[in-house]
Amino acid sequence: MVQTEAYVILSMVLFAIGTLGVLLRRNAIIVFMSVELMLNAANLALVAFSRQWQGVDGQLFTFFVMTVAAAEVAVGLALIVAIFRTKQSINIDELHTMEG
Amino acid sequence: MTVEVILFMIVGSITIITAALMLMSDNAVHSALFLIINFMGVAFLYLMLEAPFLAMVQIAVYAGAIMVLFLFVIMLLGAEKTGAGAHLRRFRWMAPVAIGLAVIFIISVGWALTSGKIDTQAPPAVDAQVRFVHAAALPAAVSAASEPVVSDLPTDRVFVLLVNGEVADESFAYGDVSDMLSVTSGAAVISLREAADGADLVTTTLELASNSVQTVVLAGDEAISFYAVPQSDVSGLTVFNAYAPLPAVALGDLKGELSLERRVLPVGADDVPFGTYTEPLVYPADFPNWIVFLPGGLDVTRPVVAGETPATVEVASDQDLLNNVVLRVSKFLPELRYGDNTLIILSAERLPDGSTRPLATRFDPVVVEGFGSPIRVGRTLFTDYLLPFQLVALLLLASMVGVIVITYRGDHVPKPSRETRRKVARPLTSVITSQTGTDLNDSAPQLPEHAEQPAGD
Repeated sequence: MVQTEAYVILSMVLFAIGTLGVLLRRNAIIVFMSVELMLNAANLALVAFSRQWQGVDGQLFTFFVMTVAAAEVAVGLALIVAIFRTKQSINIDELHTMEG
Repeated sequence: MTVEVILFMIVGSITIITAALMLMSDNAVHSALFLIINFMGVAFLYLMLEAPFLAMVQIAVYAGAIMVLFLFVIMLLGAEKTGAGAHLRRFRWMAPVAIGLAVIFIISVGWALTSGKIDTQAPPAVDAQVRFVHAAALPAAVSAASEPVVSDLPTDRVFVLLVNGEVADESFAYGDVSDMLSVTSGAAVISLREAADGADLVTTTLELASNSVQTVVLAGDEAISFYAVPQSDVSGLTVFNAYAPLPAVALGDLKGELSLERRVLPVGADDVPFGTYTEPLVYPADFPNWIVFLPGGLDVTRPVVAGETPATVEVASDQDLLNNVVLRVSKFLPELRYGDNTLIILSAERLPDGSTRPLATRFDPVVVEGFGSPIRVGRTLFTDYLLPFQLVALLLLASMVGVIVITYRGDHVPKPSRETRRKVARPLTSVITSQTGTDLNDSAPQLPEHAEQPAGD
């Protein structure tokens, strides 16, 4: 059985990569995908500990996180589409000033 | 280096590499596709973590719905190529600071893990599932109660079965098989009494493994005791010897028709003393003619190297074997199921005239539903977590309504001005311009102008 620490280290690396994506990329959609990556990293840690403690609660919480992430993606992409209609750009460097 | 560790390292590195490629890719569509591969890798890791339901939900929801939504929006907005990294000078400091923070994060959590700050205890013990079988048929001499307990147990009396001091079955008679009971794993004290508050007739302490399925058999002739037979995962036949008057039985193969010649027959299990059970014996597809016989009078040759070659018995004629036969197993074989481990308990049946004859009872394996299976997850979801489930459903409904409200244009559908250039790297107009050679901004094809807006909005 692969140790739980290995899964937590993997989840941590994925989380760090997701954070780098959120901080460094300029495309709003790539930023969004990095947020999804971070959520997946957290889910992986939850499921790893759920297996260790033999409690199905961790998996249930992951299930809820997935559902909420789906709702959040839908709303966020709708926002991006609405912003794009007015600003014709999704580069967050140009969007961060509330003009226009 | 088990297969599991190798698989984990392969899938883990695929996950990390695709995540990094998603980060560094210039093309947003490529990033989305890398993220899909990443989610598939995470789904495989869920399978390795005994969460099959979550793995399928991950593939269906994340890789199948969320990423498709991302791809739709990327294609809709034409956002395939946006340069990676900050172009404006005042944001140039972000990259090294972010990478530094990520490295600090990885180092600190890695140090916390390896120095034992994260609590990593062994998993808690899960109850064992136990069924109790009363197979002690023969009365014995009366004696004082002491270990091993000897007492008078005629077969028509009813006893009270206690597990760890609590009454498990109030009418436990000879031939009874109790339901599957949950018993705390570890050391279990099982006792038999005449009445619930009487003295113990038989007391045995058994070691029950965590999350196992066991069959506990009350067997014996002069010394009656409880014996635990764990359910095996190996498909085949397990024979438990509870046939009290005999010290040991053996399981042999008559190989088809009986013959009167001297021949050597294979023996599946050559020495099964009372109170023990065989290793799972795999029966081939051609239904061997198995019998259980007493090895005492016959010459059973045990293999020099145990397990390599089967034990054999040499008989002058098959009549010798049949003279010692205790039971013919072949009558059960049409009922045995492949892929399962079937338990046969060999006990004694007491005839009215006082003699005994062997009695074999078949016990089918009990399936314990796996951890992380949809049954377990669904049961917990709809009992303990019903309120969060309903709230999340409400949240999904609210988000769907919100999406429609956000993107609804209402009465004013702005006509895109042709002087506004899209700031995306390769807008469609420039593609057409480069391919056809005409400048679209001057002579773009357009629909004929209407005097009024079309009705309906």
